[in-house]
Amino acid sequence: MGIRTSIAGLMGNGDDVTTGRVKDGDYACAIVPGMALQALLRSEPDYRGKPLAVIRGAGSHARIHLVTKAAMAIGVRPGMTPSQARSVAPGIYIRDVDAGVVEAARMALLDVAHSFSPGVEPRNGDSVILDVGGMNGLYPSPTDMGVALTAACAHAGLSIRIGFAKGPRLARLAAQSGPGVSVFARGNEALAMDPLPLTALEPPENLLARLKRLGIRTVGAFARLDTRGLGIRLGPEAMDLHDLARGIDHCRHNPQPPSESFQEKVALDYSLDNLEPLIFMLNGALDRLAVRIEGRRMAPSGINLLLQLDPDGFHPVRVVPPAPTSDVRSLVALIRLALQKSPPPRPVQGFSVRADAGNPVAAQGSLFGPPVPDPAQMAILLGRLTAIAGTENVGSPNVPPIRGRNPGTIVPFSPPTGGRMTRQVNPTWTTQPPRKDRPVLALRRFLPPVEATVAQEGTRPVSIKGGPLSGKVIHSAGPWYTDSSWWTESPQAGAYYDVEIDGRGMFRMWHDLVDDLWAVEGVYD
Amino acid sequence: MRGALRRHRTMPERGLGKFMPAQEAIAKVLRELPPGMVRWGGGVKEDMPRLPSGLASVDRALGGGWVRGRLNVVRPGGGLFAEGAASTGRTTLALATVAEVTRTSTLSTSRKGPLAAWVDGDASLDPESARKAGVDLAHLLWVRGPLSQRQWFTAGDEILASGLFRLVVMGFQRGPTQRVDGANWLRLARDAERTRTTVLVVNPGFAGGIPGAVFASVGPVSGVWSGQAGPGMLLDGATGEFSANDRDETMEMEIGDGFGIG
Repeated sequence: MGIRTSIAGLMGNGDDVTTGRVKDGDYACAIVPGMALQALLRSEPDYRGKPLAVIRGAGSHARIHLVTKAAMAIGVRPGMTPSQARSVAPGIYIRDVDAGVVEAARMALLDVAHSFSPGVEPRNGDSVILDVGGMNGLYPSPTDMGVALTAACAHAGLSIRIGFAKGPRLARLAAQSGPGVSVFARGNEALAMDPLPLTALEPPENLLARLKRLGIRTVGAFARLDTRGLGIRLGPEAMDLHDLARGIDHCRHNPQPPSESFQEKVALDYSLDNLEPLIFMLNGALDRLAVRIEGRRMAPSGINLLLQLDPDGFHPVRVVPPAPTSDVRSLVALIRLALQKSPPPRPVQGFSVRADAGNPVAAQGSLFGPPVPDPAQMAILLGRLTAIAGTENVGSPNVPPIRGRNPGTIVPFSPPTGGRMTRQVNPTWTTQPPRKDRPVLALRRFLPPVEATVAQEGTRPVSIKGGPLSGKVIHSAGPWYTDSSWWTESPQAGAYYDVEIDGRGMFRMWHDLVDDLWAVEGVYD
Repeated sequence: MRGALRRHRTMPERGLGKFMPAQEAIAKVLRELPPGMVRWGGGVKEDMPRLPSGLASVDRALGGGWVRGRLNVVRPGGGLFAEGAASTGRTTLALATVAEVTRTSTLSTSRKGPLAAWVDGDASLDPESARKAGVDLAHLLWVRGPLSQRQWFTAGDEILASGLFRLVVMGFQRGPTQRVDGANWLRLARDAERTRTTVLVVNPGFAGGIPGAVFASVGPVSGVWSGQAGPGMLLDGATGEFSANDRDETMEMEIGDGFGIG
């Protein structure tokens, strides 16, 4: 990465801030050159290394706007029509870029910037201004910060140029001055900008035309114009730009709060009718989302997927992991399960995926208590188990206060952290430790209960025929009558029995008095 | 006639080189393998760390408790290997161990917390039985079925590989069958050893083929009844035998308090 500086000393003590003047702090500007092209390459990495051109405009007004190096190499240039480009290079890929894809890239740039500085302002749709004053404790030099910021943006799928200067617009000029990290040292801004083209100041079209007619082509030439009468001759905008060319930045930094929305979008020029390639592309989008959210020290707590169908329509899907987690593998597995349960009715032309961000689960251990499991690892594990067994089948067992024939429920697994284990899942029941060496005889349930045919003497079962449970009843206890749900349209009334079948074991049975049906609910094992 | 008698040449005479005794051939192969690639599997050593089962009689038979870092397979005793509804005491034994793990509230030499997991292939775990056994339900992770054989192994593997649990119970009444790919068991065994997690496999469907497994058997159990035949009769508990390391111990089980219905 190229590093261009004039004179070091930028990260020194700033001047005092005075009201109404430029803030003499330190600013960095990160620009994404060719934002639309980079956004497309970020959402569809398969195009990397291929001859690709992005068009702007529609119909007969469409023109090539941005091209990759591979496209340049085979003769495609900005300004060509698509037909011209194809005639020059038949193998060229020509795409227009969905606004949502560009917006996702722009938001990714903002997210990275917010992870570096609390004062971030988006500019011109392709850059951000960061207030980096006072950060010399973290980054001893602009070069260090520039390297870190470049790496962070690369991790988010974006290639940037960075400039450092004492003002926001000067920082943008520094970034535009060349690739890599550029620094305008204090007091030498004019010298550094001298060779830059006049267009770097982004003047209005009419002013630019007038200055060109006067033979002024560079920032340096413009800065050397006499200040007296400049405003009368060229207008107030020229005054502001003239000051900028001399290194005086009147621009105010206007930081924006970080966005709470994390969204990625993929728009395809073909349709997907198979789950696997869709999952593959979703994996990439979730990776990009997770990187953005992790940069803000948060984790996805819910995923909202909106599939765009061919030729029209949408198919929404929502998944919620058991705990906020950045484990993309678990999230993809959950989405796969959801899509298998509710597949899209038509082929998919694209999708947008929005993540709700939550704070990662944290735990404070106790000095004298048992060890506490790593919450992040636990969240990942629960997510993977949920993807295997289903959301409703992973958690802690719970004994409801009114059971009836309900075998019990599952509640979210959330072991208490620290201290002694006094928390009860259901406070109405207490856990009495059984006596040592006399364990409590446990029931192992049959789900669903096994239907059986029972011969009775009075109310007592004497023999059972129920598949592998057939045999003579040698002991029985009961009946214990119970009824429930009598206030509903499906009342339950029946009797429980404990029976021992000769040579088979002890079982719990249920005799449904409403339908006169017998069932074996479980075995004492 | 002389030509009709063909002399059969022995193997060394067929030009295959000097014939090596089997042990020498095996030793030669082992020497050529990278060091550490092959090691002897074997039985349980006396000094292996143990996880108490919560029952003194069972711990006596086991030599101190279940072996940490190994698959401890609890089979039905009395020659009962068929799938069915036999009362053997395996679930009771497993819940007693889970209770022992989850109720540990003092400082422990283990680096793991008091967490246990139960991979329930056919949703047969009864939460009320777990509660009455003394299990702290908040410290028990329940992966409830129905699960396929593959899901059962994958869930167990994920839990073991995380290293977050002291005890993992693998219960699957209706499977897996004996045609299970041994690689599944090998993976579980390796993860258990690597994370030093105790695994209890409670399953009637297979007889062996698990690398480094420790086997124990329990049951069948017979009921202990009291009272007169009829409505006055009650199931008070059960009694059966636990066997491990050629040692038999009697297990007496009781019906827990508050066994209510509805």
